[in-house]
Amino acid sequence: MLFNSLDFAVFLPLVFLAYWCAGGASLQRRNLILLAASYVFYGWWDWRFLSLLAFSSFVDYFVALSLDSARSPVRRRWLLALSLTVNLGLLGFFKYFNFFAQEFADAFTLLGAPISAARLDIVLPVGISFYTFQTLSYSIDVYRGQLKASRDPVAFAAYVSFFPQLVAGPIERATNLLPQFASLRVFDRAKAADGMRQMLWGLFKKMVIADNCAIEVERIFGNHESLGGSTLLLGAVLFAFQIYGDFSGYSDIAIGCARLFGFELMRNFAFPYFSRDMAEFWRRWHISLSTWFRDYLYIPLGGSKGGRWMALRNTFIIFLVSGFWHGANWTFLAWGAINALYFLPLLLTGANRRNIDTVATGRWLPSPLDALRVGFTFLLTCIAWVFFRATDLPQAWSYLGGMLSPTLFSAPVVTMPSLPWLLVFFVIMEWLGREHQFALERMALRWPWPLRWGLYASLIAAIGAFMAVDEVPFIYFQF
Amino acid sequence: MQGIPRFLLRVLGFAAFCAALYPLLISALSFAAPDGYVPNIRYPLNGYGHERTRMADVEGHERVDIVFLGSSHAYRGFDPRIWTQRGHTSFNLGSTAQSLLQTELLVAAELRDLHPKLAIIEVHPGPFRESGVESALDLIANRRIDRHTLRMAVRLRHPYVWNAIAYGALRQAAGYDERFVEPRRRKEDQYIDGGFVERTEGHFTPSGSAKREDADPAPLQWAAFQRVLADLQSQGIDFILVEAPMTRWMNEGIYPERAGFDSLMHASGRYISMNGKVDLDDSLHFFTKGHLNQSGVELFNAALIDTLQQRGWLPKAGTAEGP
Repeated sequence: MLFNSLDFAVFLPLVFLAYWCAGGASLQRRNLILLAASYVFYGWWDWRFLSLLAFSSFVDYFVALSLDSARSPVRRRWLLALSLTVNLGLLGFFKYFNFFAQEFADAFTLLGAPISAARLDIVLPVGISFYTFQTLSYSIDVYRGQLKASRDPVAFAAYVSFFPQLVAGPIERATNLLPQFASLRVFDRAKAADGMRQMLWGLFKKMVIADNCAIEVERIFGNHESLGGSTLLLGAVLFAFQIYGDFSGYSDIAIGCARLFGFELMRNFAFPYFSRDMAEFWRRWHISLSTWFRDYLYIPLGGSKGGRWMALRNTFIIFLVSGFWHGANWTFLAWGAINALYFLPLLLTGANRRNIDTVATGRWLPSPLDALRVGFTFLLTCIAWVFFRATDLPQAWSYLGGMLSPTLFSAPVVTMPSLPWLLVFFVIMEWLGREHQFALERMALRWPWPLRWGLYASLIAAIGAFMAVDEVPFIYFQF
Repeated sequence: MQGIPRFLLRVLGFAAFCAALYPLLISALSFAAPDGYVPNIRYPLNGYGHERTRMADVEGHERVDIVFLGSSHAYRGFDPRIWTQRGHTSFNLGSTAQSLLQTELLVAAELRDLHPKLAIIEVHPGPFRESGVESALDLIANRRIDRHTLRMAVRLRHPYVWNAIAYGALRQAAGYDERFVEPRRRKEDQYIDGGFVERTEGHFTPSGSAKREDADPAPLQWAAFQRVLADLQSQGIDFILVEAPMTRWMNEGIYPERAGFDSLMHASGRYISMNGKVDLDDSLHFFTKGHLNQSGVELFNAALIDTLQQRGWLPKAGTAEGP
């Protein structure tokens, strides 16, 4: 079920009413309602994969219980290995089998012994990368003794399958989300209203910004060989807006939706395109994944404690793994490697924590130097996004080659006249709200209610007037 | 639980506030923005097919023997003047890209006043494959918005349609559309009283090869078709399904596998496909791949009336009661 569908518009109020009214004051009943709703939500896409979700929950529930009671370090390590094998095995099979089979066959062909790749007709279950990482973090936290194993199977299964963030995150930590399932949530009207505001802004980002950019991006990337450099640069910029609008829009809807049920999810995006360097960008982009890799990969590998070279090695590893997490394609690996290279000078000069506040805090406009840094960082991300968006590496190189041609200085071709104006409006709104959790959080709160509601109604009207007509799935569903 | 009723009340209040403001905001956007800047607001007041003139014509029209329904194949195919000469009064309720969802609206809204004995529905695979949006916009912009329009919008679930209704309701309430007078002649097209659009000039020249299309009905349109037939029965109106001729280039090139469609039509009622039953030439008697010019219309209508009479499917001539 898509957040931007009529199905969800019916589903959400029904679950909301069932949860708060039929759920009564019983924690168990409320968790059960959420669990059932989450399985309906996921099963709407393909009910056959519910078994996968249930299996993943089942394994980690019992592994964690066994970890809690196991005293022997060897037994504990075996139990952790079981959880890692099952979760990464599922991920590896569904997501990477065909990729490795093909690469294996290609390698043999290169060595003069051609073999045919055994390809399987595998459907990638939606959100598998997200929920396997979520359950993995639980088992690892219990193994590390940072968390007691949950003894409530309903609460645990509801935590794994919690529908607002099930298919595209934020990737929640058990230490943050699981305790919320263990305590009775109290309805908070202000929190719920805040959640609705965040959902509205997320829908605007997705349906107006991302989906309209997607149309132009499709046109430009699909015909890149016949287009001028400036149009190709525009295509890269529009893809930057598309993926941000799409993914951060999803996160906003997820976080806002969770608030309606009394939950607080972790922040996933913090206005990354207003970053002054790449290190700041990565502290603000897909925060739940970056911190996951930091806590469960970078630090166990030694982090930066072994000196600069170890920090460099580990940084490259997490960027490459992060790229590969997005999909079984060399383009994602290249995207990860480019971002690692962007990071390199900051690490070598020790400047990677130079910008930890928000740009132009308390001011209307940034200093010229900050504006320049923000612009340069954005340009770097756009170049990296070309690899992310391209279907293969030759297309990415060809695209960049076309972009860096003399036609870079010609006028770009835009087929959707309203799009530049929508983007200007969007950037202004994001800039004005950059010191808060999301752009609309504090905006207009002190206005008289007719004006405030007028602003929200205007956003709804803008969605109605400019939304892309066909329901477009969220990009991160494929990961 | 505490605070939920108040929260829900505020949500409902906001929904009502939005519902009231939405048409105003949409209209303001549409008026303020240059053409093409607001992609989801489409209001074809001056669209193809003379729909505005036809809807004004049908308003208060006297009762008729026969009503024609369907897409442009209908309003460019069935000429009421020829039917009058043969003793049958008629009205052509065809409209641009009319899908079965719009046929449903017109049958429910307009046939009670025309009170025909017979409805001739032009059927070919195209309307059964249409999304129905284009024709819905045509009807919304050129006809009064009423409960039938809303019912159609609920079935279509399309933002263009909802926006056109929001925008159109405000325009119609303000009497803004009344200022617009549709010309009865637009380029080569002449509106003829009774809903027909005549094209005397023009000959079809095929270019390239025809692109094959599926002929199986879409579920949404098929369901609407079933409701149309049920509504006609409930109103006591007889119906015949007729496929107006299209060029051989189109019939054989675009719909080469149409046996399934034909058998569905046969199973649905009395059905005649006029393809191949009239001696028509692609170039001489058509001005596009699917539209007859006037010489083609005359041949087709004469042949159809003859066929229907031979089969005894036409009502007794001149049986329509006065208004």
